[in-house]
Amino acid sequence: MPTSSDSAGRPAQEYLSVRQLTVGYGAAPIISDVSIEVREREIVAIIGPNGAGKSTLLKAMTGRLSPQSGTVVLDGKDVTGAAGYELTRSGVGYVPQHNDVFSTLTVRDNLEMGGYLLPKAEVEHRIGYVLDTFPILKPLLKRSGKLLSGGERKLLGIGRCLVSSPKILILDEPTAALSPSLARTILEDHVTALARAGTTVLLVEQRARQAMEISNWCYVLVAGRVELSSEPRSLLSRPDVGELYLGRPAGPEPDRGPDSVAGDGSTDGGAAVPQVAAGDES
Amino acid sequence: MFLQTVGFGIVTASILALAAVGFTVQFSVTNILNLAYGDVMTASAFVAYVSATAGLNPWIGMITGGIFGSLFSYLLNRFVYTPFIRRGSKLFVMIIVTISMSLILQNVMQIIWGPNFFTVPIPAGSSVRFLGMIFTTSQIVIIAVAVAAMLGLHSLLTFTKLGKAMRATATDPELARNCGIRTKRITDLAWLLSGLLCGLGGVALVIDLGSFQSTTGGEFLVPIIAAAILGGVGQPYGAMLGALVIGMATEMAALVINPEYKEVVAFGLLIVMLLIRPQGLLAEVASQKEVAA
Repeated sequence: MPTSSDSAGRPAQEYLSVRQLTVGYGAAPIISDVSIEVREREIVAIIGPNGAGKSTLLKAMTGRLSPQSGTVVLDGKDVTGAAGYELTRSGVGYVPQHNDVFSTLTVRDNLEMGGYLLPKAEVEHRIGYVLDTFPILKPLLKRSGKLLSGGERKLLGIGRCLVSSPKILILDEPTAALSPSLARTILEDHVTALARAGTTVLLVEQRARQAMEISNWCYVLVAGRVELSSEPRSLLSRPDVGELYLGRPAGPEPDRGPDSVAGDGSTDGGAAVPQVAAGDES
Repeated sequence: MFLQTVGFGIVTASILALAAVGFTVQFSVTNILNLAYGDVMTASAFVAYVSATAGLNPWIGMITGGIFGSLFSYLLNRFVYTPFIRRGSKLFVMIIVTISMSLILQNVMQIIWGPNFFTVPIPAGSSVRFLGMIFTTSQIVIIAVAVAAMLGLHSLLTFTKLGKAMRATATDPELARNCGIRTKRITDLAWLLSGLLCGLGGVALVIDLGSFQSTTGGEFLVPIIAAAILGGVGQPYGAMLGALVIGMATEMAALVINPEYKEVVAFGLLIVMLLIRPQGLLAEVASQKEVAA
């Protein structure tokens, strides 16, 4: 059984959950008997070493893989094995780690595809909102997706999802291959702002410590199983967690570039944890 | 003589554009390299022939052929290709399946119509002079149909939500589904649309050639693929450009060398293209598809 700390303090309303999910491509399952839940307006982080099955779990939750057993429940409805477009219709936004934008379409057309299910007038309105949120995309509207930098691409991927006003945003390693400072911007500014605005966020992250700092709840996935389910502050204070489950100490990220050294002290000192859901609940 | 050859080149390019653009749209959206494409063209031409000899206006026959190509392509996918895909057949197995369909279609047509040559009866209209080139009425109609089809396709792909969804599905079907696009409907539509271009191209081809038999469309597949690859498979505008280049080059070769060498020139251009730009075109799209799959 996975160890789990007391879930008091989490919002009561469960929004997306998987129960006893087993998923694999062939005979041997990649993840076995995984249960996680994401409650309304939370940021939930899934962390774990490479090959733990994090992306596979997300694929099973977004219609890309059919689970071998177990259920996926979205807002009280069983959506196990539902197609991607049905989940999008039900309010699930998903930004995959790779191939997160349509490389042959312009930035503008990418955003329009994000609003595929909306009436035309609303699409324009929502694109305006996304451009206000990510002003960096404004001058790039006519640029082809394949000509974007890694950071622009990721913001476009997230922005494309936001056009449809998803109730839950599922992000698969949004900061992979980004510079440390850009990763920080995406996690600490954009993701937290989204959650504050009422979007529920499920986040898979390699930058485990940063992910825990912004999340309300945290699952540690190791070798296809949930090893820990915990409020992240208590995990952050456990020195063993990093070495045991993350493949490296949970302390400062080793791959930080010189440009972000100055910022380390502030975040390591006082973990700026959940400002999101806890206050809204009472 | 040179100008007249340019005129022939424009006509050939128009036919190639119809066929190659259809071929490219079909492959890029549905991910099936349909080598029975040329034989669907022939079948459409037979439909046009039958309706024209039954007394319909031959240009109505062209529309009938186009509609047949559209529906037949859709059904071909629905009842032959999709069951294979559902069993997990990948790109190369599917190519073998389409080659088999090509052989089956050719032989069925030969059973019905034998090895004989047929001519779609087109009334000999007046000819038109333009910049020193002379066009027959049917050539003018072929050029007009091709230009209208290309403009229509351009508008669809660039300005409409449906067209953009088609391009999105061609690029990354999984991401398209995560945008709320029902990609199966989009690929169905791509079969109908590319089949329409295939049918129109087939009828235009046999009208231009004057006579045809059960293998005519299949033989035309080489310049179609050459044009599609030259421009970049999956890129309709590339296929239009490729059609123009191949159309002109083959007609010029007919003037300078010998009409017998038309296909050799098309094939030669294809090989040169693959030598100097092996990274582009077919290889690029195919590998991208496999990553996405």
